[in-house]
Amino acid sequence: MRFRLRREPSRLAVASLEAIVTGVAMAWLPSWFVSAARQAVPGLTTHLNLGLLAALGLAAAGLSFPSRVLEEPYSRLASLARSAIGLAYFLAIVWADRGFGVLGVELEDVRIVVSLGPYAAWILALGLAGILVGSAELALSIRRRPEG
Amino acid sequence: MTGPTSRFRRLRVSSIDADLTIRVARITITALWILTAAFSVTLLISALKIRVQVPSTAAWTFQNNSIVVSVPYEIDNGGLFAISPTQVHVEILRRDGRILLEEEFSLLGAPAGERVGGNVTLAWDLSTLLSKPELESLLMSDANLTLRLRATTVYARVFRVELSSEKRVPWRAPIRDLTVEVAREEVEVRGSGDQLLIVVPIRFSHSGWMTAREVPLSYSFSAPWGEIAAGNLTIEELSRSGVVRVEIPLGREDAERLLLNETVLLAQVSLGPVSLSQEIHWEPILSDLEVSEPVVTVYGPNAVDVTTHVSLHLNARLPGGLRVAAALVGEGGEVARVERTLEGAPGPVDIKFTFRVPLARLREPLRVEVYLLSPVELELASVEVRAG
Repeated sequence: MRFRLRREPSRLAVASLEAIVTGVAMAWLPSWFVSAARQAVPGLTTHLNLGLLAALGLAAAGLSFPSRVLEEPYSRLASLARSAIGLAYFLAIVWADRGFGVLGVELEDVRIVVSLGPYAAWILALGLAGILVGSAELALSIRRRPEG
Repeated sequence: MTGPTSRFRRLRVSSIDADLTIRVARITITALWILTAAFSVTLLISALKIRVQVPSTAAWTFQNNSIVVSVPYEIDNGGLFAISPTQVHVEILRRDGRILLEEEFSLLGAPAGERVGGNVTLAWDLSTLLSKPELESLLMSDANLTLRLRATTVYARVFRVELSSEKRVPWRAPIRDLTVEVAREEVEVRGSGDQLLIVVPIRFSHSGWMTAREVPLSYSFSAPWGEIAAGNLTIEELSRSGVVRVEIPLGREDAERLLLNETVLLAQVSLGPVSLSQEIHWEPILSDLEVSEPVVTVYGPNAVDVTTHVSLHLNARLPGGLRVAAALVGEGGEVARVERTLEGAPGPVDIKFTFRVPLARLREPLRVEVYLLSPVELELASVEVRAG
């Protein structure tokens, strides 16, 4: 399998920017937010698996390059993978030991649980719709792929 | 048109339709993601602008067998979404898991951008919630209790927020080591009209932290011959220590007996959760009463003086003083009368009564009658006059 790359400077710049923004937003921001909250409220604990979120965030950031630089259908495949990672990221936040769509923080003896309810279902539906559309884009791209 | 050309066209047209559909779907989903992200950020910022203030010191009172706690609160909703009324459930558990107190109440909802405040007043009627030993233990002994709190509300009409807390709280007894005693040595006797009042001081003290209000006090005093008095009163404010003076009006028969006889009274007092039964050794108010035989002495050619001494011991303080009268009584009735008013201080009392009467009076039988006029009217003694 040979990959053909699109190496225009503008494309590379957009891919780099996207990777940085994604990395910051998905991998670094949750850790920073939790750390700041713990500084403000010592003893605060959350159910968030920050390591998993950081790994998924970095993976999503890394996939910014293939989704921009590779030619179709591989760029579509990378985009689809990115969407799937985004959905997994969301599920890692809202699907903890308390069930789907429930966020929780604990402060010593105090526990605050927020049930997102239909909002979580809405985001899940959006994520699944994104994957569905990404799959369709991938299928169409494979079908259009020139022979040879 | 048939053959490979038309098949190619159909394929191309359907490919263009699918491409358009996917593009529209992608744009729609992206737009929805942007809206969702904007809503999420707005929601987060709004939630961070909510402030709930509950002062750490709530006002606790113990009133008529009920613990009453009043907690002011304020919800400042600086965000863009409304907070529904908050349902709060509170449980207080003993170490063994037994729920002592349980209460549910609701806090006001806070519309977006508004500040609401209120005051939650909870009253637990302990006499119905707890058995007597549990009540005594809770009020008078320190303990480790568990406070379980659950507050539930809905934010922005969608998000159900539940705060729960379970913490061990050291319970400091509000009226720790409450003691009640009858101050026997300070019992007073007062006259009120023709009625005798006994004023019994009941002392109480505790080392707790709560000022109890409207605490019921019930009492009964009985003598060997029966109940003397029983009643209830309310102590407006039970501070850490104090004295309640119970005024017991005595019937005439009881008054006569208690004035002159030694006995043992049984005091039964219930103050809030505490009951006591205490014996009071009752000394007669007047004891060692002696009326000397009247002495007749000649006063001039036609008159005589009849003199008698009355001695007694006053065992209690009589704030209204002691009024004693002696009357010289003949066949036709009272011949002469002398009254004395004395200070009501405890101690020996010696009174000399002298009647000056015509000599001729000695021909009829005379007697000296001694009366107590105050605090209660009572005939104390009667002595014949023997003319020498």
